[in-house]
Amino acid sequence: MRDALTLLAVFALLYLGCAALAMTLDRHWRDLVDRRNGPLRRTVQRLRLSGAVCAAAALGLAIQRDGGAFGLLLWCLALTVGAFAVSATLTWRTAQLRGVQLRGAQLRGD
Amino acid sequence: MKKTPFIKPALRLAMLWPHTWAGVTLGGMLMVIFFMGSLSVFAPEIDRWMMPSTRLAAPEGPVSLDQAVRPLVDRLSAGRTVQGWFVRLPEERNPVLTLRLRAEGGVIDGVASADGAMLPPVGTLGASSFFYPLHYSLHLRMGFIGIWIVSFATVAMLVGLISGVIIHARIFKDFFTFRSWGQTRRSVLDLHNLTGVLALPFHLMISFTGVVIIAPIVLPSGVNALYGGGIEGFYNDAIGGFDRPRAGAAAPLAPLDPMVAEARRLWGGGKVGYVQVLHPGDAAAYVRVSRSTEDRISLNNEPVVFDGVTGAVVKHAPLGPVVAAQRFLSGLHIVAFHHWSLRWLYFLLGLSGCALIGSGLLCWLEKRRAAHGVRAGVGWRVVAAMSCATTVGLLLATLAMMAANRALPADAPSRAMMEVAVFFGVWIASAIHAGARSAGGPPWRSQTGAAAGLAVACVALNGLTTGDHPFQALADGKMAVFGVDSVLLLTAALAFAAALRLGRPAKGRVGVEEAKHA
Repeated sequence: MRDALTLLAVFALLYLGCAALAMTLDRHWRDLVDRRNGPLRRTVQRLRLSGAVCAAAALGLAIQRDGGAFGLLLWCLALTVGAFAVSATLTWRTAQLRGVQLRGAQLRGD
Repeated sequence: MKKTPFIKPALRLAMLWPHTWAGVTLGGMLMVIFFMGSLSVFAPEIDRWMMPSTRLAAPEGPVSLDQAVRPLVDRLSAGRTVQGWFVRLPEERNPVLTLRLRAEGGVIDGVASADGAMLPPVGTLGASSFFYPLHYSLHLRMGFIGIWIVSFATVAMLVGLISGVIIHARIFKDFFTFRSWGQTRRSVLDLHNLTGVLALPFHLMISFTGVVIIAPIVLPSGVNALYGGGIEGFYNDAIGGFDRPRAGAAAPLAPLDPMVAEARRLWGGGKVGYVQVLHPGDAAAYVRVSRSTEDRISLNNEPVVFDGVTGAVVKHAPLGPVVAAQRFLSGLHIVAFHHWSLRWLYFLLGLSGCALIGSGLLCWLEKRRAAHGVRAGVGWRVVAAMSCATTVGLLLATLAMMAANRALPADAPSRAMMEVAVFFGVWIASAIHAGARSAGGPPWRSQTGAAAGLAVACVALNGLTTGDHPFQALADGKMAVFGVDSVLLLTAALAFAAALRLGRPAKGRVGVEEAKHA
């Protein structure tokens, strides 16, 4: 049970870490947060720091769960999966927002 | 002041043609290698599915070699002189005793349950003797020709990966970007970039370690110089460590169980993986006991060699540093360890490699179609047919083989070969179908629909012929069967959804979905 929870935490932390890094990118920030202004430099730094903290915490948990060799391998591969999950979330959210906007434009009749 | 780019445009252009050529010419081959490799990660589970008589519970305690295995060897040899025998002991994923005897007049194979009861011949090559060898040798064994071709394709994969990183101009800005809307071409390119960049560590690791495993074969000068080309002698020295000829004088074989106990003491615990006995009944008999590597990444199985007559340890030496590194890298590739999360990650990331290669091929096809207009050239049609045959066609052939495995009667003559014939027959048929119909784009839709049907048929046939339908398998704790059935049903659902989507009025859409799940 504890093993399963740790595993879940590793994936969740890596997902959060990747999400924080993704939001430092101008495109995704503009798509999801603020269309007019990109992220502030200070925001970017904070997001990067929190991304790194999440990744480090996940690495710690993975090594604590499976030992050095297996833990490191698990962390590397789970990082890729976390990044894919973030990418899927971004695609889904962006498409959703765009769909809403398109429909809004249609309703206004222009 | 203008910033000089880190990678100059000229270098990007120079990297484009090897990337394109490596992908277009070897993409199909790499697809086979990646797909079969992904399946091989679960080879023992697929074996249980394809060999119903071996769907047994894991043994509870260690198996006695003297009480359970030696009577089986005597029975199998039936009085003939045995030059040597090998047994793989049962464990959770492979709950059977696998025996192989080298006797007068050829090799004898046998499968038995953990308590020493012989099982009927499995009548199939299964995943471990068909899908897995296809992955690394394409079943072309003579002169290691298949291994050479696979390693060449793998090096091309490494070329593709590294040149791809150089070509990708917006690697950080597009790091997480997948635009599923808008032009198909852009979506396919996004998918290609995404699978290439995010899974890059895995793809680099798996391609590199793949070559490392077969390095002694594809970099043979060292072996040629020291062993006169005898690769067996090299492997013996590097990882097995012992060989001696027959003495010619008869002497009884000492009990094996004490040897196993001594080997475990030398290892400081751990389970026995397999045991080899050479020259049994001869004064020069020797026994090699190898450790199971289920609890470590490295394939180092620390063999301990005993004298077969006295039972004394003859050799137990640690690996040299280079061999130890090679064993570790090989283990990283082969996933012999017991770690279910990692096993699934390897499977999924292996499939992401298929998506990478497939989307690369689609990218090329879409771009050329835009360049050529409506009339497709011969080159385009060949690549289009090949892309279809190596993605959906390969999936069709695999599913057809599994369906044939459950549909053919258990006592059909040369049953294993008939399954192989079905595999290649369906594959060739799908290639011909794709070739004949590729003028306006390959027949993605009909083949994907057929794959969905076949996957459902596999699950149904398994339920009908063995009674282990998914719910029964789950209730009986036959997790391997349940897992294979679940993946088959998921494949069917994905293929069906893809076929439906491809059936919509065409807006220049060439199946992206195939690449995702094939």
